[in-house]
Amino acid sequence: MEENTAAVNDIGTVKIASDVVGTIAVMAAQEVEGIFSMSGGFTDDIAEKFGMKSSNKGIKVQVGETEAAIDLYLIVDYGVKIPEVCSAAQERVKNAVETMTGLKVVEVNIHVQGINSPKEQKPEEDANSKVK
Amino acid sequence: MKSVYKVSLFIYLIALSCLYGLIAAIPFASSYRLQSVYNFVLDYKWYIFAIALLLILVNIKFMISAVHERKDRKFAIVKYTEDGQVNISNDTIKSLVLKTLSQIRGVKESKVFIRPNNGKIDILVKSYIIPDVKIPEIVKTIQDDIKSYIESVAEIPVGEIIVYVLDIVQNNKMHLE
Repeated sequence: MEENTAAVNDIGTVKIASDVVGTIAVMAAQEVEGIFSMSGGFTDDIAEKFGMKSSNKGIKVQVGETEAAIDLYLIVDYGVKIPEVCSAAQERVKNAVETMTGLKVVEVNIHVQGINSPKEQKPEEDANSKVK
Repeated sequence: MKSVYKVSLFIYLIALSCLYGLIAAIPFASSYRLQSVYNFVLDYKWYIFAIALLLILVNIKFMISAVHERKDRKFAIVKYTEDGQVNISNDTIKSLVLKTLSQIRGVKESKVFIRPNNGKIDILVKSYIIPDVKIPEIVKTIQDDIKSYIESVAEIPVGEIIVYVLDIVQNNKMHLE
């Protein structure tokens, strides 16, 4: 990503790359309980197969001079209340980005792409079984 | 992606790698070698034509499945919150339904289809069930469990839940020793 956001102060200019905003958002989102991982696209999956890990997997960031909009693509854990987890993620990402970069986050859009279901043993389905 | 697709994709990639290897070797080959390769191609032209045709068909198949996958991903439930949107994909809802079905005693295998309907979602479940269960009871359980689970976990209102019992599966699997 080449976009940089710039803040001018008395001494000079501070530029924050959109990749940085993305990384902050990903780290903040992954701290939320109930979020299993970020969901990358096709290219991210291919890159991962070749051992290249992207810190901005599953995120799209649009930055302006003073504002930012963030899209997060997530996989959530099975059993969690999705709206609650998404709301928590939105709040945490917004706070983290605003605190660390000084940008105003206008929206944090969450895209739930899948569910991570832990492998568990299926209950015994023997119809002849007498024990329930 | 199904395992059949994975295997065919693997074979297809191997074939492509061989082809690229041959193309890469052409500039370094002597004219005598090139002539012998040309003769080989002429000798086995129908076989080579068949292999090329097969690769083109595989290519078309992958292109079609890629387009279908994109169509499936288009549909998502969108909720608007103070901080932005929450999109819950079709696949996520399917996974939730399948997980719920896997916990119902008596249901063996299922396929799930989802479609939006006036702010709600309609769910079609096609299931195989085990013998010796009361079908109306299990269907009622499926409907109740899915409705309550989706409405509580995803907070998406559920309209109709249609359950097709496709067949009864046998518990005993035969295998040779």
